[in-house]
Amino acid sequence: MENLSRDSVDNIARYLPGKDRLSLALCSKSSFEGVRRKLEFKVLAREQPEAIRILHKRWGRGPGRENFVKWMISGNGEVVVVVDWNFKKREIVVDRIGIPENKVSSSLLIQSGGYGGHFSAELSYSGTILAIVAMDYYNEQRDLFDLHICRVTSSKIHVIASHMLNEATAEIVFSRSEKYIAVAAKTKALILSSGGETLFTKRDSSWINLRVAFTKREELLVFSNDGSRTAGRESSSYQMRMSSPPFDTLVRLPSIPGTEQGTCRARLSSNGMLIVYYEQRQLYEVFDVNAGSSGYRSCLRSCIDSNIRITPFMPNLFISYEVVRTVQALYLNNICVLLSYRILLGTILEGRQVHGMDLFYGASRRPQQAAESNNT
Amino acid sequence: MTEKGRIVKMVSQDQEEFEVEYGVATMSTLIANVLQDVSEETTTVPIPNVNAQVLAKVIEYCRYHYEAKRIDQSEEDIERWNKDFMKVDNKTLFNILIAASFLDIADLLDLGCKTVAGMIKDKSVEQIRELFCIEGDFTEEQEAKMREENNWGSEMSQENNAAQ
Repeated sequence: MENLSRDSVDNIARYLPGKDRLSLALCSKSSFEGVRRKLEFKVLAREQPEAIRILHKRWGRGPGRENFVKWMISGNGEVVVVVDWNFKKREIVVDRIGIPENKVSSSLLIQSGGYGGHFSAELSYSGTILAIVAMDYYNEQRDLFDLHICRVTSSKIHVIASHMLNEATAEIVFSRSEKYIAVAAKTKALILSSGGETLFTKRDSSWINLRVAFTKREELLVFSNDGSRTAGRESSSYQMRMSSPPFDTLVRLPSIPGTEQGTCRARLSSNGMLIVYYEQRQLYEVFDVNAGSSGYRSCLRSCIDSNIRITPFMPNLFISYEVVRTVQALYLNNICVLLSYRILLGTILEGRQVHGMDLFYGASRRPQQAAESNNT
Repeated sequence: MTEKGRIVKMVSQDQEEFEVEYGVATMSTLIANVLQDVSEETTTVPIPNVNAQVLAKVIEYCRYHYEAKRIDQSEEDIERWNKDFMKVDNKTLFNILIAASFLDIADLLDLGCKTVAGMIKDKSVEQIRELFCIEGDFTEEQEAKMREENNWGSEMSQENNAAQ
């Protein structure tokens, strides 16, 4: 091992998931040097910002305008999953694309798509578990959703569990170890095991704008506005609740300072960071919820654009300040092209500093834009 | 002489000679480049960094894959053969990797790396060190710092270690 060239060790690391890469890196200084560049997807994103351009060909029938497509990339950047909801045909097509092979390695057709209106999907960090939501079509009723948990491998994608939900799904989050999957519906939070088994369900009709996340210790965080759903209004009461494995209780945590002063929006990151955006004050504040589980440590406060997003796999890369062009997939003659987008990211380092980062993913232009500029 | 009938003599580090068909030998980019730069009469290529045992394995790989491509062997058969081919001791495996890297045979290098990666998967740092006889040279502080800097992976590794 010690005699292997740096390139060979780098090549070995290509085939390893993040945690194994780190184990290899920690073996010795020379193995660390070989793995270093592969250790963090973050580093790759920074150093090779042109990273992703994928050509996705779908054989067989052509997708129509009724389709909705979501592209997801795994945390290690090595798996791309494309979920394509065809509400007209009531089908969901899932394709797994391996990176850097850039080829569809496995596919799945689920014939349980609904009549439209809602779709959602999330891919786990390792790219091996996929949760898909689609409107159920059996009863032709609105507000009945199929939630499918799929196991994704390079050779096969298969549904390991399915649940029917009677509320629209707002959010799907994986815990760090991927043991648990949290699903936030309109007024309901549930936790599934990675095998799709229901471990916890809690419903409260007063919950509005429900957000769920897991802390570093795999506790479930539930953030909500405890308003009046019947009146359709948010109240000034924002609550944070927590449940620890085996998830038999949901404990209310102290109120988040500042939330009583008006409408706010919150995002929870996968490492237990809470970002609250106070709409009236146009101010956001970052709290560390892991600071003792019973309180919050304010890490950062700043004025910012309201467009707050947290990257699910890089918890300290947390906000897109400005999206110049959003990620989208465009179908042209059955060829799906991931269009370029420009995004600005903010980084929290040690809970204090913020660094802006300007990333370009891809440099391709929309074909019509290219044609326009060629004409001029 | 046509390239089809051309035979290349590869000489290992320990002076053993291997006669190999031109198409098989040029699966190594290094050898292909060497043969391009010399006259057609030159048939001997010294491989000073690779011993006879390892060179024989590398030639076995190249022969099989050259033939597999020629007869359009099925992917499953090739995969099965590759798996069997890689059933060697660690020392030979790493020597094959070094030889593949030196001779610039990308597919063999990839196969070797994939095999090593498969052996590393889900193992703790200590288990990897033991498996590949690596001597750890990080201080505890350095190791802790690295784990902290890459906290996502480290926490999962620690959990794995604890589970084991």
